[in-house]
Amino acid sequence: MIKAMSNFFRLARKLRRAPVLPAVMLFFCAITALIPYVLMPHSPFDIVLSKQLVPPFWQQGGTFEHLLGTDQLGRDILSRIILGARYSLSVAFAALTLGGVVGLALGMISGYKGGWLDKVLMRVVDSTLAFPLILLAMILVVALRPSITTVIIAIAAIYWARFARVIRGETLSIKEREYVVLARVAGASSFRIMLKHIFPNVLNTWVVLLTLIVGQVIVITATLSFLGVGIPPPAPAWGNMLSEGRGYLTSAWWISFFPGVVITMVVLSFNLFGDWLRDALDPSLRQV
Amino acid sequence: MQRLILIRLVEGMITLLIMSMVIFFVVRQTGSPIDLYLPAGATSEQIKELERIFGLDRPLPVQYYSWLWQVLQGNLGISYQTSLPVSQLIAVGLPNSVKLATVALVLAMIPSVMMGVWAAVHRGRTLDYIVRTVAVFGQSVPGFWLGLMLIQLFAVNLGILPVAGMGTWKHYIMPSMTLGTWALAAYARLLRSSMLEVLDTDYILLARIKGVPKRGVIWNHALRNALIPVVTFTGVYFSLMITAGVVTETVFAWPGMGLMLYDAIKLRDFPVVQGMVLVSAAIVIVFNLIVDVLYGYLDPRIRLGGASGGK
Repeated sequence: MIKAMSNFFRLARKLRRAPVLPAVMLFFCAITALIPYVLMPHSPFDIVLSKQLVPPFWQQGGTFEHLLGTDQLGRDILSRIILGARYSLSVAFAALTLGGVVGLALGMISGYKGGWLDKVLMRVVDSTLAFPLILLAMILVVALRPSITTVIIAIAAIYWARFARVIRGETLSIKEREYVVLARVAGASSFRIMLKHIFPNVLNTWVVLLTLIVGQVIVITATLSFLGVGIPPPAPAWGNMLSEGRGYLTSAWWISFFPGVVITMVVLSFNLFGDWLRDALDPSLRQV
Repeated sequence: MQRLILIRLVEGMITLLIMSMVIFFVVRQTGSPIDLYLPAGATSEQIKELERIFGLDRPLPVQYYSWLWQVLQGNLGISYQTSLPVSQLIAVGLPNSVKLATVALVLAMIPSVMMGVWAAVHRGRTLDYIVRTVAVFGQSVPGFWLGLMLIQLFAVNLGILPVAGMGTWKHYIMPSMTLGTWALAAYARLLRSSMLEVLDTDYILLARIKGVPKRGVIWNHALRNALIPVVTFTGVYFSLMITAGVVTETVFAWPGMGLMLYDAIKLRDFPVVQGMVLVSAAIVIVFNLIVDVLYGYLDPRIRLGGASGGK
């Protein structure tokens, strides 16, 4: 009881220095992704050719009807950004979960079992990490035919290795600890040891790694759109809006400006949040 | 030590082998190049002839072995699109990529060292938060978007810098700023955390007790030791930049290896994709090995063995 309370207070002390601003930002973002249809002032898909390239409201020719202006097809930018949160974030989270779970499982098995399996898996991890990652994702998406699912698979395929390597390292040190050795002596199966003794101990590291990488994944998702192999249009993913605006840099800067600002703010929030979580839970996990 | 280097080299070879297989088979799933290189109404004889020239008429494993055999003899094949040897294309593209990465690094180095040291010395105070936020910002902004906005500002609105391409020193400014932002952030963060570690050590305290002024301790004693991870990271940086420059090179039409690879993927120029991916992976592996060895020399506390490759 006392131990539980002291643990609680220790955690509370760590939480006190939580990054409030990023947390608020992410909260808004989550709300936006959950109920976009309530918040959108216009339909993000309706093409209104009479309202092409309307500038944001403070510029000459701008109206309050379209606060952030319209794009080359007369679609409302604000509405597209709002619905884009759902597309961009769900793709990023799905990819991250998939890659993270695969990496977690393989990392634990590789570290715990050791032997030839470990050697083979680590060579595969090395070869994955030695690839020019964004290009590997690009080739995968093209090979599997572009769709939301293939974008998720491609991103998971380039990120699982990061998880696998870190989790393997953690597992290696945990499996030498006494309670694991004792569990083995007591006759626990490998599966049980991994699930009951190793998994709870690598969970912190895994969660921290997730939050540190989620920002990168959002950027990679957008970058794939920019390279022409992302979430297929007309889905208003942020990356799509950015790359569509590329052709209008001279006449309509706002098409690619606002989605970029939103991506930067969201990724910034995730990164600040991840940094804080790492310092609180797993300070040893330093990454550049 | 020598044994370890040998083991790492063998491991690297196996890594490259696995990778070459993956890239060879996956890139062939992106579609047939034949349609792209023949006019629409081509006869089936013409198609067969081109397949024979490209070597695509044989079974896949045979194609792979013959390609691998050629690679082992130093022949990376011939580009479908330009009919030039892949090695020649790399000889043009790689130096351009390295030039850009170097300029970006030089631009980022001095401010990032200042930022890292200041943040560490003023740990937990306002300056530290500012530096950290700026650094995280630099890592959060999507490179291609930053590039587009720079073009918008300096090339379109102000008209003082060229939009794209490579030529005078002016062409270097925007691409190296785009790449350098990431490097600046990465180095500042790395240096801050390594400075914090060093400042906590006994020998720094001892130097202070001996009466060395604070400024001297920070910039001389501490920084010198804190730079060790920074030096070794530079190896990783170059291997990252050569391939991660893809986005920047695409935005600014910079004639480096990244842009060539991007075009080759779109044009299904298999030999170029395979060759360039293989070479860039080899660079990554060699750099990681050098970094590990260098680490042991620079920092006697860490001899090889515990250190695992790269990050």
